[in-house]
Amino acid sequence: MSTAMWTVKYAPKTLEEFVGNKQAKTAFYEWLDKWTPKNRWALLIGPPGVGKTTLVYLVANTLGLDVIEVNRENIGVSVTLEKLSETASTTATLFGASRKLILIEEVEVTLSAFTETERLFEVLKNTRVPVVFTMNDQDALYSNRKLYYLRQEYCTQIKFDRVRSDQIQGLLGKICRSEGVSVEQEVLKDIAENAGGDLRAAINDLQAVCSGEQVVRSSDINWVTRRDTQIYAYKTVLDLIRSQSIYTAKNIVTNSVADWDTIYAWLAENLPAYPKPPETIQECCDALSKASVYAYRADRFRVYEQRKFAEDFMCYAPQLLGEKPFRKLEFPLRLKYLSRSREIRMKLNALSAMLSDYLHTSENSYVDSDMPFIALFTSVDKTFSEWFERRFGPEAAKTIVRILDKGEHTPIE
Amino acid sequence: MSSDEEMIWTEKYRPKKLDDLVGNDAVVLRLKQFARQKNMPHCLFIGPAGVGKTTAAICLSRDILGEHFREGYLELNASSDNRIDVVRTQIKDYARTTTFSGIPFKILVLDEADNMTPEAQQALRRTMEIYSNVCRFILIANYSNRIIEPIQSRCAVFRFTRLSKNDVVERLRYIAEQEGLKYDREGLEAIYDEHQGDLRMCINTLQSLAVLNKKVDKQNVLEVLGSVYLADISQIIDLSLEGKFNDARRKLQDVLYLKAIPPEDVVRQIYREIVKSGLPDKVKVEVLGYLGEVEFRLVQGSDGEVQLDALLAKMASIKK
Repeated sequence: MSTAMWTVKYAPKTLEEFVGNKQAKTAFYEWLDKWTPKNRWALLIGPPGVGKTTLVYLVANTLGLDVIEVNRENIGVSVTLEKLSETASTTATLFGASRKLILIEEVEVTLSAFTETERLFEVLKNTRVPVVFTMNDQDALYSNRKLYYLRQEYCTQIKFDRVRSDQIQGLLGKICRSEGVSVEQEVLKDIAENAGGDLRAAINDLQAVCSGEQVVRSSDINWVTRRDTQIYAYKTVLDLIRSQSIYTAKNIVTNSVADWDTIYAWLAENLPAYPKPPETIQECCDALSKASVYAYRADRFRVYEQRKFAEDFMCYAPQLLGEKPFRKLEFPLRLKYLSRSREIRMKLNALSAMLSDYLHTSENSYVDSDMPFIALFTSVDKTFSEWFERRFGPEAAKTIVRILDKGEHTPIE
Repeated sequence: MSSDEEMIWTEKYRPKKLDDLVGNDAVVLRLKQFARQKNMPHCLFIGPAGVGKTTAAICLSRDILGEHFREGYLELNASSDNRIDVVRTQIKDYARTTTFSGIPFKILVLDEADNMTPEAQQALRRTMEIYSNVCRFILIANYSNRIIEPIQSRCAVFRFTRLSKNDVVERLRYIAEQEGLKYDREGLEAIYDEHQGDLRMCINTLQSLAVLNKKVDKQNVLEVLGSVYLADISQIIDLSLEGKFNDARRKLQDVLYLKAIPPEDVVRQIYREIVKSGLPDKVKVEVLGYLGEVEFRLVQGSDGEVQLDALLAKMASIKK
C-alpha cells in the first residue's frame, strides 16, 4: 500500500499531465528551453497550490537540468552567497558537469531575513545559469524595496492564475479512478469549487474525504473539510441577529465553524442597514468598531487574550438594535470585491513604483503625487499618451487613466 | 494502587483510540480511515479549546504508528516554541531523519500553531513539502485565519465543533461511575454549563469535587468553582459595584502584593466573573470594554495597580 500523500503521488510526471495555467506552462518551457545568459531570470508569480514549484522541477527535469533550491530554511545555512555565486558563474558547457538551474523559492519569504540580498542580486545579474524565482504575493514586488531587482526588464515575469474548477474536477476524477474509488461528480464538483482554485488543497481534501472508501455519494458526505465557510456564516449571522443576549450570541459564535472575520464582515455589512434612528446605528457601529480594534490588537501585537473582547463586542452589536424587522441578509461587499480591489491596487502599486523610479520620488500615495497630473496629461494630450505608452507599456497606460475615472468605483456584477 | 498510576483525570481518561473519542463524529470517521489506510495528508485541526483536537491527533498517530508510537511521534507546543530558529532546527531535524522500519512515516504535531509568528509559519512551508515522505504534520489551531494561506493549502482542514451537552454529561457520568463518585444529573449539567462544553475543564472540576469528597450536585459544583477561582476577586467586584472603591482597592492590593497574583491573572478572573454575572448586558459591556483596555495596557507594560484601580473606580461609578 502506498503511503505517499496524494499531492505527491499524483504530482504530474510529464508536461502534458500538468493541469491548468497552460499559457504560463508554455511560456516557462520556452523561456528555459531557449535560455542564454542574456535571458537571466524568470519570476513565477501566483497563489499557493497552482503548481509553480512543480512546474520548475518538471521542466528542469525534462530538459536535463539539476535544480539548486534556495529556500527560507537553507539560505545562509547550507546555501551561502559564496556557493551560489560559484554555481551562478559556472559555465553550463563544462565537460562532465551537469547543467544547473538556481531556484529561489518564495522569494519574498526566503530573502526576508537574509542580510546580503543586495549582493545576492548583484551576483545573480551576471549569471551563467538560469535563475528562477517563485512568489505568492505580487504586492510584495512593489511594496518590498529589496525586490526592486525583480521589477527590472532582465527578469521575465510569468503569471499563474487560480486553476479553473472544472480542470480541478477533471484531475480529481482521474485520481479517484486510479484509487479505485467511485465518487459522484457532484462531490468532486463541490471539492473543486470549495478549494477556490488551489489544486493542491483540492487534492488534500479529496484524500481526506475519499481515502478508505469504495463509494462516495454526495448524500453521505459530511463536510468536515470546508475551506470556504461562507455558507455557515449566513446561518450564524441570522442566528446572531435574532439572539437576545450577549450570552446566547457568544454561544452561537463559539459553536459556529465560520471564521470570526467572515462573521464580522457579514455583521458589518448588514447591521447598519436596519431601519433604526442614527443614534442607535452609531452605538451599534461603535460596538463593531471596538470589536475590530480588539481583533487588530490581538493579531498585530500578538495579545491573543484580546480576542475575547473582540468577540464580546461583536456579539453585543446586534443586541443594540433592539427589535428588528425581518430583512434578507446581503453578502458583504468587502468580500465580494476583495480580489477585484486587490487587483486594482496591485496595478496602481506597480505603476506607482515604475513612476517613482523614473521621477525619483517616493511611491506611497496615488493622490498626493504626480500621478493624477500624469493621468490628466494622458487623457487630454494624444502625443503625451503615445509617449507614455511607449515608455511605460500598455498596461501602465490603461491603469493611469483609471485614476481619473470615477466609474471605477461603482460596483460591477 | 500502583504508584505510577496516572493521577490527573484529564490524562487518565484521555481516549487512547479514535474509537473512544467523544463528539465530532464526522471528523473522527475520516481520521479512522486514515488510520486504516496507514496514510494521511498533512492535517490542520481547527476548533475551540477542550473539544479533543490534541487527543484526536494523539489517537490518530497511535493508531497509525502502533508500537512505534514513542519513536515516531513528536509533539511541540508552538506557543512556547514559536521562534523561527525552532522551525529551522528542531522541526527540520526531526522531519528529515529517516523513518524506522515498521512505520510508514513519522508524525509531528504542532499544537497551538496559530500562535506561531507568520515568519515561523513561512519557514515551515518548504519543510512540510520536502520531507513529506518521511514526516507528516498535524497542525492544531483555534482560529484558521491566523494560519497563513500557503500552509492551509498544504493541509486537509478539519473543523472541530463544541461538544454537545449530552456528549459531555455522558462522559462525565462514565468517569463518575468509574471513580465511584456520588452524583446527580443536575450536578453534571452544572459542570457543563460552567465551562460551556470545554471537556478538559469539566473533568478538572469533577476531580476537584472528588478530592474534596463532595457529592457532584449543583450546589457543590458552584461552591468548588468559587474556591478555585479566587473568592477575593468576586469580593473586589462586588465592593466596586457597590461603590466602595477604597475597600475594593485595599482588597486588590492584598491580592497583588500579599498573594502575589500577577495583574494579568486578576484581569482574567475579573473577566470570568463579569461574563458569568447577572448584570444587565449594557453594564457588562461597559465594564468589559474598560477591562479590555486595561488588559492591553498591562501587556504593553504599564503599571498594573494603577490600571486596575482605574477599573475599580470605573465600576464604582457605573449607575445601575
